Amino acid sequence: MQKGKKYLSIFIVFLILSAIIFGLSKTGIFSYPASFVSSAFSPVQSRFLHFTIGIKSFDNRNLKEENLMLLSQMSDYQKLKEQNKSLLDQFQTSSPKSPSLLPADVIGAPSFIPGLSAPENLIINKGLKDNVKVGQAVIFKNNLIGKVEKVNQNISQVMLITNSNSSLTVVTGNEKNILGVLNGEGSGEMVLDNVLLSENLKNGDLVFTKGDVNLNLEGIPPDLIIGKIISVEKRPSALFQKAQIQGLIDITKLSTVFIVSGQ
Amino acid sequence: MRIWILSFILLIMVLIEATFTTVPIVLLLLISFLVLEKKSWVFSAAFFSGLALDILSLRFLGSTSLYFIIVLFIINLYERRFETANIYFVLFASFIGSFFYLTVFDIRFAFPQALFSAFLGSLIFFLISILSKKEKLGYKYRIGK
Repeated sequence: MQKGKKYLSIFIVFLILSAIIFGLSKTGIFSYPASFVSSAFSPVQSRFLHFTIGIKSFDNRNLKEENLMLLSQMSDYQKLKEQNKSLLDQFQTSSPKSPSLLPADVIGAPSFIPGLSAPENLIINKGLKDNVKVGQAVIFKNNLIGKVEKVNQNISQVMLITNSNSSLTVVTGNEKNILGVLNGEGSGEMVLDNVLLSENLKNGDLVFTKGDVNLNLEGIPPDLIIGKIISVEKRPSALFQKAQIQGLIDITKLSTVFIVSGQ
Repeated sequence: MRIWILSFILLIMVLIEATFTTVPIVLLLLISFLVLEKKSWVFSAAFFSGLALDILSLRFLGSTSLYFIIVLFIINLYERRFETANIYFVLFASFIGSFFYLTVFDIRFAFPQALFSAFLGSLIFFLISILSKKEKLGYKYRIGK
């Protein structure tokens, strides 16, 4: 009986403490103590993760790198061709500002079974003190990885484009004139949806971001690679056609990413 | 000494959960600690490990602590009437605790992860109970000497 009372009092004390902290955390009062803890742990997490990435990425690295480089060059070529055409026509005006990139270490990539299942989010070691804001794009080379979802003083959470809550407007096709909506499906999968039946989607076509940036160039920049089409689902009875998209980057092997910080 | 070793294991588990996995291994460890140790320090361990997880996973501070403490208290209430230090109870408690944890914190595939957690929880319980038995035997041996 005595033991039960003791447990009850301890339970009540910790319950009240947790509830107070939970209530006050919404006001941001604990952001500095929390940043102290996260800055103390982030180097350990980073080493932990980099060690496992080093073990995993031993095989097929060169081939994949080469493949990625070729696809990137292809997209650059397409981009240059379009830019050239636009400049010749004197229609495109150059942006007065160019976005700057902030490198960040990946310190967490939680997934169901690490190494087997794909993560839905990444934790990176840059936060408010590095001027990271919610909604900024996170890239690797010229591939979109995701966007910043939550930020505290020292670390941020990145929602990957494969996350089931992720959705963005994309373009595809040789002329980049086929518009669609890319939805994350979880487990590292993506679907291109809302594409008109009259459009001609082809396997192997690259999918790019359409772009959604504000005046400070923050948000998702245009022409970033999302992935390539691996299968098309076109039914005459449906309103739109769909396509499965495969990313060109193995997110589980990333140790550094870049935040598009605008200005 | 023993409490420091268990706290160190808990800290490692916090780091592993925040870095690698969505499976609630810290909760599984706390359930096994409570069922085997039956000590009040498990509540303080739940409180602090929950806070650490909240910080490292960018959740609202105190949310994981609240969840851990409530789950442990429910297990504690159950323990007053029934025997909880058996693998069937741990299997059940790990499944229910993990399922609601994954649902509350909006982690996908809650059911398969909870199933996996139930088996992992039983394994953790099994390993800790072996270690506890060895330690108790060693203690008896030293007293006997």
